[in-house]
Amino acid sequence: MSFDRLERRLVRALGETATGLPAPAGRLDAVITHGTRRRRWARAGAAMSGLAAASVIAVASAWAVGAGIGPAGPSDGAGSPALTETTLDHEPSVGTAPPTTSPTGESDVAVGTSPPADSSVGTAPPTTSLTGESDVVVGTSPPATSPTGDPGETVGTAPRDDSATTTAPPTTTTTLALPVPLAACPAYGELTDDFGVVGDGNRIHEGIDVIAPKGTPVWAADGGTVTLRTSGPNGNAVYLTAADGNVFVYAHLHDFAVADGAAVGAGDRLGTIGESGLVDRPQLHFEIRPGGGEAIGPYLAVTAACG
Amino acid sequence: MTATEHAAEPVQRVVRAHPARFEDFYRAARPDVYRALALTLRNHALAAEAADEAMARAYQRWRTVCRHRNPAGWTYRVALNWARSWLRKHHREVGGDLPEVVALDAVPDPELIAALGRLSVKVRAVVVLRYFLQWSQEEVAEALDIPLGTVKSRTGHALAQLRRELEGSR
Repeated sequence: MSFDRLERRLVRALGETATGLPAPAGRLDAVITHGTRRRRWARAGAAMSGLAAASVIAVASAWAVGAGIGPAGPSDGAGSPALTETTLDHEPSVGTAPPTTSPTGESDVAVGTSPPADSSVGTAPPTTSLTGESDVVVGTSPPATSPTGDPGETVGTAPRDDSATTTAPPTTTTTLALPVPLAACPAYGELTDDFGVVGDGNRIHEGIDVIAPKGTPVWAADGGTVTLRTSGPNGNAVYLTAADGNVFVYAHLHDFAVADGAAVGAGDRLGTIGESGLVDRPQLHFEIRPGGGEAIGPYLAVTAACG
Repeated sequence: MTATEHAAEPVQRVVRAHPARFEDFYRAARPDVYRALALTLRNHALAAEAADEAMARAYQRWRTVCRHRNPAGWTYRVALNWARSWLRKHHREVGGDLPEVVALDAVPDPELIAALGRLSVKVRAVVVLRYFLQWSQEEVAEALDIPLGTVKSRTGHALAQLRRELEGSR
């Protein structure tokens, strides 16, 4: 590419201006937390049918009216007693105030923002505070309208539906409903929260792994009927279909404690952890597929059920 | 890193920042996405917020985005749309003018940077991707999801206006 004089001047001016910009610390953990929550909302919204989804939308818009554009600001916590939402779209340093993005942000958890959104134009620094947050605090008010289509079209329509994130103030921490709560812990062990990560051979990890010694028992997360499979990358696997249609997948088992097609109750023993299939050490690969559809991130549900 | 090095480097770094793992993508692409946004929006705090919001969306649908030819471009576009929505919404709710220009202290070429600020955001986005990240016209079109002809006309419009303003001020 050959640039003329003005273009070269642009390249130089933009490059030099960019080096003078403040460099806010990366917030990878916060981004992943926020992204995971968005993913769960989108999936939960997509998996829900008719009435349930409609009621969620109603709750979400009631919240938006109460917290976002109504007289009660988000900092009042007055939108709905059950929700502890604040908005991400706080005042981002309009005017001359310097940003105070915390340099320690890398180690913190939540994409959280503190100042009341509507009252500090032009004066207050944005104080992008990254407040700590417990993993089992789950935002409700799922923006069930979150589109699952063309990613480029996600924004630009209704920012208040999209920009909600959760900051649970320490004093009003509320444990909110999970998309698919588990009636029993599937297995105890070391959890790896890598749902959605692209692994070897471009396969996407559809669940999480519980690392535990061979022979560790695994339990039915809910009541239902089981289907056993013994071939494929999942090795010895149990597909547990609950009464409400949710499917739980237990892969890489060493052996089965149930027969194919058997009815089980929540907490019944299904088998033991092994290393069958495409793994290199004993582990349980566990998936949650709401309504038998696409898998959702099971980390929060498992940590909540396993205590 | 000096300014010259930076000006020469970023293109390849961002375009090639296409690793399978989101974490690697974030570390590789986020600095340039943020800087490009800051130059476009002329508000670095809003740019940082928008960059991370868009990164969260990229993570949300990483299995799709990671197959995109230019995930950094996708992230930039989503962030820009988010920021513009934010500005629109806020503008409406506050009911007053929202100053778009925020202190870019001690810029090296104030005359040019000020003239850039008088371009519309849409046009400035093309200028920033083209001359700061130094993407090709095709890459800019793909990143912004606009036709190639639009990139060319916006670039031409921007350069013409800048020339006019810079010459007029002499």
